[in-house]
Amino acid sequence: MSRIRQPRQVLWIAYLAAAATGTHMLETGLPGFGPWIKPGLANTFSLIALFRLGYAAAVVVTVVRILVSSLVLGTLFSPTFMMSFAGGSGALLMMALLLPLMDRSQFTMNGEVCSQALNKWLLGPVGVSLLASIAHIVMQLVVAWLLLIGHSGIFFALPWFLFGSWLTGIINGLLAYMILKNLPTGC
Amino acid sequence: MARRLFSKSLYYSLHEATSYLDRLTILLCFMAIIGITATFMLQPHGNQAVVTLDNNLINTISLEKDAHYYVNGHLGPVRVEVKNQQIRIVEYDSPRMIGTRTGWVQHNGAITACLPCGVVIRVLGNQEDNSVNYDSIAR
Repeated sequence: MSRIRQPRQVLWIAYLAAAATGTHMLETGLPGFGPWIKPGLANTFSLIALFRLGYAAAVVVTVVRILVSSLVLGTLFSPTFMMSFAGGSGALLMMALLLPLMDRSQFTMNGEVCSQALNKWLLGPVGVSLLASIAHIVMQLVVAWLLLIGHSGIFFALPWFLFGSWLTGIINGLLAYMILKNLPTGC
Repeated sequence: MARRLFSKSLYYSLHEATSYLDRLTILLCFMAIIGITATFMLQPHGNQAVVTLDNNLINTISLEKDAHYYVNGHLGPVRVEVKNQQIRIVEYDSPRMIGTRTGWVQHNGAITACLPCGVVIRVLGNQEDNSVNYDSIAR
């Protein structure tokens, strides 16, 4: 795992956290989806932080995003906040599990390892995004079941939630890849 | 930057963005989701339904024989129909007609409801007890 050493890296964490917070708040105001269904574009920035700066940066970006956006939106420590937090921690847990399977070599900030293409048998942004988004929705459902709803009927919605997270996971992964490819890496 | 993003065809950019393991993950996740959906769809059919009005148990209906029932909700009567081991509700007056649009339900644990009327119907199987568990919000 790469350490955060330079001020430049700290600045990048701040940029990504700010972008993620803004996206999260814009997404909350999206019409037509309702509070339970969001495309999850804010998580793209956690993914970018993970591939560009490492796991610690992804944790910081996610936690700052959830805390600051709920503070601004006035939902701190409300059920909405708990749902966000559960989802974020589920995704971070899945990212931690996938760390040994990840290929970051194209995307690291200072070009510690350079390569032209993704390693065929390791996970790129799309795979990590997909699995993390599924972990996100499963963790949210479990926490909603334990804390809020308390009725196992909530799991009847699981297939729809899973299919939605499959789709948005792939789309967000592609977006993260496109952004990562266009950032300077020092290679 | 926009030119660099969109100059390649979509297929080529997808091809470049994913490794073999990524594509395998996408495929396996899709199959797993189809499998989970199938297990939900293939739930055993229930053979009775519990009708509640404002969380009060009104009646337990058998799904074995076809029949019509009427429940007096807050917005007038609601017709409950049983046919071919399926059950549905037909509302006469409701803001969004969600109960009517839900259509026939038959699986164990399935719910059809008209919340403005206060009528909720839950299908139960044979082995389940008839007690209805309410969630924390309803309590």
